[in-house]
Amino acid sequence: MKGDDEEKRGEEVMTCAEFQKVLPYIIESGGNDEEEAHLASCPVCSDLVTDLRYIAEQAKLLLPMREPSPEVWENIQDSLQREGLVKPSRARGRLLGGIGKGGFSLATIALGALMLVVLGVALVI
Amino acid sequence: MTTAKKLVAPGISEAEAIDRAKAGDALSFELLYGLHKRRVYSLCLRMTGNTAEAEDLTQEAFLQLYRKIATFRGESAFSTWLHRLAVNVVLMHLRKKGLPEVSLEETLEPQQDDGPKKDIGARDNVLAGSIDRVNLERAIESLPPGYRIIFVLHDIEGYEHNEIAEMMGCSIGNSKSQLHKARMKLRDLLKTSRAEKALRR
Repeated sequence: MKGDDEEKRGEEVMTCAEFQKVLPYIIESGGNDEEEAHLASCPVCSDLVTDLRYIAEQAKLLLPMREPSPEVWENIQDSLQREGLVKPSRARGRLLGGIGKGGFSLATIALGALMLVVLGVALVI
Repeated sequence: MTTAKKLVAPGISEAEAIDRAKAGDALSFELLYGLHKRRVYSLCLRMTGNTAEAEDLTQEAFLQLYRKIATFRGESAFSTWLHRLAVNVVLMHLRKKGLPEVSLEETLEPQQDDGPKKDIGARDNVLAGSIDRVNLERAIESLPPGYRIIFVLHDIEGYEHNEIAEMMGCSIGNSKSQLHKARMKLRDLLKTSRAEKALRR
């Protein structure tokens, strides 16, 4: 490694080991002059930094490609129904809209009662 | 809020769907599920590396969303709020399982296996241009759980170290250290995978 060669020449330069000790910080926010000088002169550390930055860049491009199975939504519906948060749907995979979080709303019950009364009156007449 | 103009159904914006779901409209909740299920599931899958667990956690995250959506005040984007909720669901699950997330004793001292391999000094060995999405996803899956979680949260989901430290109950330095080790491990895994592929040719 070039860093080791430089050390052998007795110069006060950063070694690969020293550079890699502070590498997490360099990747995050760049290095100081000494660290940048080592990076510019050492192919091993330069390749390492290039690779780590490349991995981070590629990770950012990963999209949420996978989709949960339909059972996940069915289980969510079942749980919400068991807890009384929504009423059972007529068709699988579809929740009924407009149902309040507390189940049937007072307005819904009142409307149902009114319809029964109207139906009863109509039958009597 | 950045979600105002995103349509979740013809004529219904995400912001409207959120307001309706807050009022208990189940259909709007279903629309929100359709819009966010992929990202929440992918987050759970990447953090756990297990399909069945990821599906259970996706289910739990959306159930919590239904129960808590009335508390969403729009101080952050809805997707940010939902994904934070999902991350907490996964972390809670991992804590219950007793899986090591991040060792609190970790320091930034480099370890024996953290440095570059001595046999990879040649300039043509850089990874640039040789990683495809499938290889990277596979390599992430095979990371140790503690490394994988930090890598997913920081490099894929875009959380800052201070946010990760808060969520994980560790120091910022510890989060940085784990991320660095995760990237180093990924580098090794990807180089090995590339070398094996070259041998098969």
